[in-house]
Amino acid sequence: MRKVRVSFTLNGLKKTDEVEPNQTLCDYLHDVAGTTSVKKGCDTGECGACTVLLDDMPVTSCLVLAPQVEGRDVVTVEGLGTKLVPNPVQQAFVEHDAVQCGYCIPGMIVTLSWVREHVPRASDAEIKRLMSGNLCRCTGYLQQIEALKAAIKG
Amino acid sequence: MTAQKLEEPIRRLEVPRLDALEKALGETKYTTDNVEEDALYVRVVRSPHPHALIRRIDSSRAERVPGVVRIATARDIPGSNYIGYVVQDRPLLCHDKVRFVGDSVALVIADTSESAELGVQEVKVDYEELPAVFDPGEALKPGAPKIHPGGNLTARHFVRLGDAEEGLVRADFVVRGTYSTPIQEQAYLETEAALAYPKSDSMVVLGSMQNPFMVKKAMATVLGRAVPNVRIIQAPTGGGFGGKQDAPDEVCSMAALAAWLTKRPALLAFSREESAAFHPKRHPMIFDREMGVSSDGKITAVRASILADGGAYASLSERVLFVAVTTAAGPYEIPNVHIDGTTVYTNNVPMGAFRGFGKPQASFAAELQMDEAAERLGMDPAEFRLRNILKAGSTAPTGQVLTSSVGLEECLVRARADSAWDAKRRTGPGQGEKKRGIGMACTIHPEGLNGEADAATASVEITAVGQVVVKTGLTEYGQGIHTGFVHIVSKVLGTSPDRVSVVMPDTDVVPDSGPTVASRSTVFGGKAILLAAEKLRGKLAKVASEMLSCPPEVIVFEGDTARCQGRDDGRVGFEELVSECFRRKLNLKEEGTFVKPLPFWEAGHGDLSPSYTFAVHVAEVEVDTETGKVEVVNYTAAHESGTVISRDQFESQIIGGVAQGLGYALMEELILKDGIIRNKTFLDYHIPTAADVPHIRTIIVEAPDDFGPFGAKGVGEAGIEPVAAAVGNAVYNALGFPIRRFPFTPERVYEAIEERASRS
Repeated sequence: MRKVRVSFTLNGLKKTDEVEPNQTLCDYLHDVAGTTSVKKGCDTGECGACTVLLDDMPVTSCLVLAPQVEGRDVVTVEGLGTKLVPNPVQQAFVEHDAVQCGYCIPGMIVTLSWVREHVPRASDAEIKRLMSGNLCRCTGYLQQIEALKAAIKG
Repeated sequence: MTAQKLEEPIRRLEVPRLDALEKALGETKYTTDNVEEDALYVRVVRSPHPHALIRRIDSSRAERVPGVVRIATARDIPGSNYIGYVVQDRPLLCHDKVRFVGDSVALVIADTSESAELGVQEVKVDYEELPAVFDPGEALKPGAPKIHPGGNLTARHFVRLGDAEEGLVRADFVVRGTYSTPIQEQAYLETEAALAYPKSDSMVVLGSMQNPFMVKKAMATVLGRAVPNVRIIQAPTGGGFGGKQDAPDEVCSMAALAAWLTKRPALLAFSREESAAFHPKRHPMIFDREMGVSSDGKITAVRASILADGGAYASLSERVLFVAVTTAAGPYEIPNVHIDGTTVYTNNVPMGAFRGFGKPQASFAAELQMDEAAERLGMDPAEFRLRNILKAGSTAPTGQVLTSSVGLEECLVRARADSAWDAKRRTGPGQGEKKRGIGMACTIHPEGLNGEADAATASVEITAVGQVVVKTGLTEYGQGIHTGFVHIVSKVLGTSPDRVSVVMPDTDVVPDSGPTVASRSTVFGGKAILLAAEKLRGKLAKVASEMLSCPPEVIVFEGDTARCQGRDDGRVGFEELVSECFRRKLNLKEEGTFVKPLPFWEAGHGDLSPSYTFAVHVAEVEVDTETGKVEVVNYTAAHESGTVISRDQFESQIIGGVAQGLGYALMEELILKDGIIRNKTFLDYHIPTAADVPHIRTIIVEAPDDFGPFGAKGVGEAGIEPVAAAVGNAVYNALGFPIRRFPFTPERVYEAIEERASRS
């Protein structure tokens, strides 16, 4: 298949690449672009481990084709914080023991950092609904909810 | 479920998990994050039939698919094709017959995963279908299709204490019932993966796993003399829950075989569907159970027979059955016990290890029947349990006199108080369509490998610059165990935790500490590490005593210094002390080994372990009798696991275990029809989301004994064990009758309500 040229922004940096037309954004980000935080847990949009921000909306990147990001803005968890300056949600996850095996965590933090930015007054029920697209098999979620609330409070 | 107010915020951690920040930043490299450009991709050709002879495998068309480098079948295996934990009955690649839908037949090795996938479709296998058996009861009948040369019996176990027949006759009444439990899928978020690198005379495999030394053994078996050295490195592992106990033996061996045949790095990573089709799951079990009770509320006897479906290969079935059989009577004083258990081969997906390991099943049958007996007695179920509960000095239903700490009664008393049990039982289910119910269940968990000898070795080393390095084969896959080890070492040596690090398990670097299973890591690994650290402290104390002029016995290590007890004048910093040791050419590396000898077990009774952990859970549910929907609205989990090493991680283990248990109780059931799994993806096999987990109140009861490090016991599994039973009893309380099979899905509960109504 002929490759397709795409130009987009990845974690704040302009990027142009040749991509397979049938490649998912998840595979492109993980296998080609080097953003290995984007995890594949199901490849069918059910588990949320590959969640990224696309034009500031959380999406499961396994349900987006790589050419679809032309001219758009993509943010993975690598783009949210660094060791020296972690995102408040990343910091709160560490402090509230919200991380166990860690495989769901990049996607979960992408979703919750979006919740913190856009729905800071969400009730517990709304928080639970907003994060229900991100599955975690280890923690039981309660520490993650506490972490988000602490990050919102600041 | 209705959102619960999270009224008790979880406290901030004193020592965060070692790997938490790296994971939160997305920097942690799991197996598939390490793939280099020259790696080949491996896909597995799987059987579409539950039971069939392989007449011929034709790979000629597959070999011509562009990008396909090689096809591998059983004939390409240089060593032995047969591996397995307990019984070596599972071929890495089937050559004469297949025994379940998904059984592995051939490997397609290609430049890209797409080419490998196309190649899989072109491998033509000529099968001759055989009659199959899917029902464990049918599998043992004469004339049933024979799955393995020795027949379909995998294992039997039994417990005998006193005279159950006599105990049942003498009882004032006997409650009887048949209880059955579903197949549960581990559903770890990271599916199985292994990356193999061929070297000139060795094979290095990086993979997602619980037990690198077990993988090493299996791989050495498969590669045989062709590869003298195999080295296994555990990559950060995205969940295990027992599912990555033996499955990685095969996944890593397949990747290694591909790498050995092609002399190139090879990656094998399963899709979600393959993962569901392949790895061993929680056994479905059927319990026929009767319990004799006297009118004053004492249990006089328990008699039960257990039938487990082990699926197509033995995996851990024999061990799981042993645990189910030996805990089937429950944590109660019962003078007469007669338990028989059988696990059989069928043409279903194999069953094996899953957190709880036979106890969630046994607990469901035992604890539901406890409530049925309490109803007959007209006694509160908490009260009935208290009359029979195990205490220190009690004789367990296996005949063992419990000499170590038993905090079960305190768990029950506190769970009862904190859940407002008495008031809620009095209030009753209510008059409306939505009925409230509250239920309780207990669990008993023997420490370490059950009924087996157990041992762990670990080393602790201090470097010239005062860093403390812990080496153990016990793996981190989310439990936080390595952080726990840091707590232990820093406590013994009086250093700050950030001075201590734990090496990622690599079979060339770390000692074999036994498998990371059975909630044994803190107890066995932790104790081995404690022993090694104490030896180092002894060496340091000797040098410090000369530096500070006081006897070594009175040297105190704290705050990264050593000082003489009762004296404030002199102290020496940890780094200075270590430098002095190095000047004296002292070896600051020590090993510790902790051994549990083979416990006495004979003729159906004996000792399971020197130490046990306990838990009592209380679930509160709302059942919509119009729709059958069960909602857990409140949950209390009281655990006794000796001394707690890290409170936050302890609570995290309990909350995570309860959440998995709620999935098991309410929604998780792998559905097989003629051996075909009908729900392999998260779309149709539902696990709890954040919206399904209610507030979980954790209660920690500390009852240390001298077995584990600082009196600690294990906590990894107990959290899941009583959950289905507690929910089952809450549903029973809401509806007024027990439902003896779960998960309590709306359909099942609705049908049970309808059936009950039509009978009365």
